Amino acid sequence: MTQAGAQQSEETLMADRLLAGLLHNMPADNADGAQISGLHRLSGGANMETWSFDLITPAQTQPLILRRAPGSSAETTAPIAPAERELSLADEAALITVAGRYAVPVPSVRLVLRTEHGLGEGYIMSRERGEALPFRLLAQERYANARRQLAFQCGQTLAHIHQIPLAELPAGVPDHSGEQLLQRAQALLDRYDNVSPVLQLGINWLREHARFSPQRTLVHGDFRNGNLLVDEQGLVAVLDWELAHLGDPLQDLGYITANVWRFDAPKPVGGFGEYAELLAGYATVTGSTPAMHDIRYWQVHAALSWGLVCLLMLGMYRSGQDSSLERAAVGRRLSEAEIDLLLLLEGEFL
Amino acid sequence: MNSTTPTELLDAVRQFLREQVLPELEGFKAYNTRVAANALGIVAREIELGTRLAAVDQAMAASLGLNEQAGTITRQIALGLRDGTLAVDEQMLVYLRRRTLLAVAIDNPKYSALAEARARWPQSVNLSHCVFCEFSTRCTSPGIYCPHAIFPGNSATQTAGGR
Repeated sequence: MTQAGAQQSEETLMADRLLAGLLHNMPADNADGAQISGLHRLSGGANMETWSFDLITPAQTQPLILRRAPGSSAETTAPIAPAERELSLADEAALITVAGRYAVPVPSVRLVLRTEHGLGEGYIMSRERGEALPFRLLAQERYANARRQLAFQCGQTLAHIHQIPLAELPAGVPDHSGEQLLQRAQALLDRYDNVSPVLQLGINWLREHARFSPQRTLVHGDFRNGNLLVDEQGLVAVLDWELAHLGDPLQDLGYITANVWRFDAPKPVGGFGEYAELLAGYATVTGSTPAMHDIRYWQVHAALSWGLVCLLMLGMYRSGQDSSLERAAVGRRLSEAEIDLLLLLEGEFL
Repeated sequence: MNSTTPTELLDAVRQFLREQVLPELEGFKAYNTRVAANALGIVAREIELGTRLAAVDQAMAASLGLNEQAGTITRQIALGLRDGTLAVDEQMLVYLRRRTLLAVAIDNPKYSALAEARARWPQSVNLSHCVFCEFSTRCTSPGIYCPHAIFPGNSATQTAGGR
């Protein structure tokens, strides 16, 4: 069989299994003549696959997304679990469902995959309208109105995330509050051969200025331009919950304003908005306005985190766990984190 | 005449990817083709600037009395900072700024913070001797903005001090 032929038949098998899994939950009269259409892979490295497809039934067409772990091709039912993923995909799906109940705009989870589905580990969710690519959101005229709303909406949405009662969260959400966060950062830098003196400087500074927040809340952990689905009116859905954890809520505010996630656009909030808009949105929900001083601390942490993610991805490439080009190339983005750290920490040492 | 240089080959492949291959693709493959072309750009810039980055590290290693046999210079410095055996003084900050300015110029010269950093730190490069050119202590502007060396801060394509 040709390579294209093999890919074709694998996708046919995958479509059959998706259909079987989705129809299992559906009334029989709706299932008659149902089919999967337009299955194609969207993006992602080998550590996470995202597929887009439509479920067509006599009643309607449902646009859907499959998010699943690598190595879970239709032939294998035992996925390779990446060592770095702390939150299981099943817990991620459960978390998204909880967030939706607390006024956070998220896709609706349709099916959490189980072994008998033969599709690996993952879940199926609604495919919402909108754009997530930062360069389009920042440049295109059609999103001009959205850009005016977005920072305020991000503030509101983060506040809603931070107000979700901890008792509602899936048990698998890890706790990175207090000293654990920096201990983990140091352990990662040690593991990747202490390759960067600047990241070490960042860890030292964060340690010396550590603020142990009295608050411990759900933290999204990757709330940034690129993980937000936006249409002409603004925020449609918050995506990519895999780094969610318990910690200081201000971590998310430093993250959404980190330089690396502004994509070279001038405004501090994701490249599209001002601090005042973000903080006003946050305050409408929580009744209090976080201090810029605290947000800057978490911007330093966001820059450090980006550097560590670059090392982690490079490590995955070098170990052969993920041999994709993107993983190899992202290792060279370490220097972005380093220059951001040096700029943020100017005047802090002398 | 020399045979094709490594830089010429890289530029030719990069141009081929951008102009011939990319327009034929979309989605996942188009994205990765862009990543591939960028990666070749990094290699080309490293060929041009890598020796200068090594020179910055070696000058610091000599100044701190580090032994190059004991592991990479950056690792020894990172461990020294972690364990508190190296101080974060003016010399250390100047070194870290210089090596980071160079690293970003190689890895992603369009990154917004590079222009910001070049504008902010002209003083971080006023050193007693220049490691970028043959004039050493007689260099008129030792360091990052050395006018005698072809450095991205001085080249025709990218002006120093950005914004």
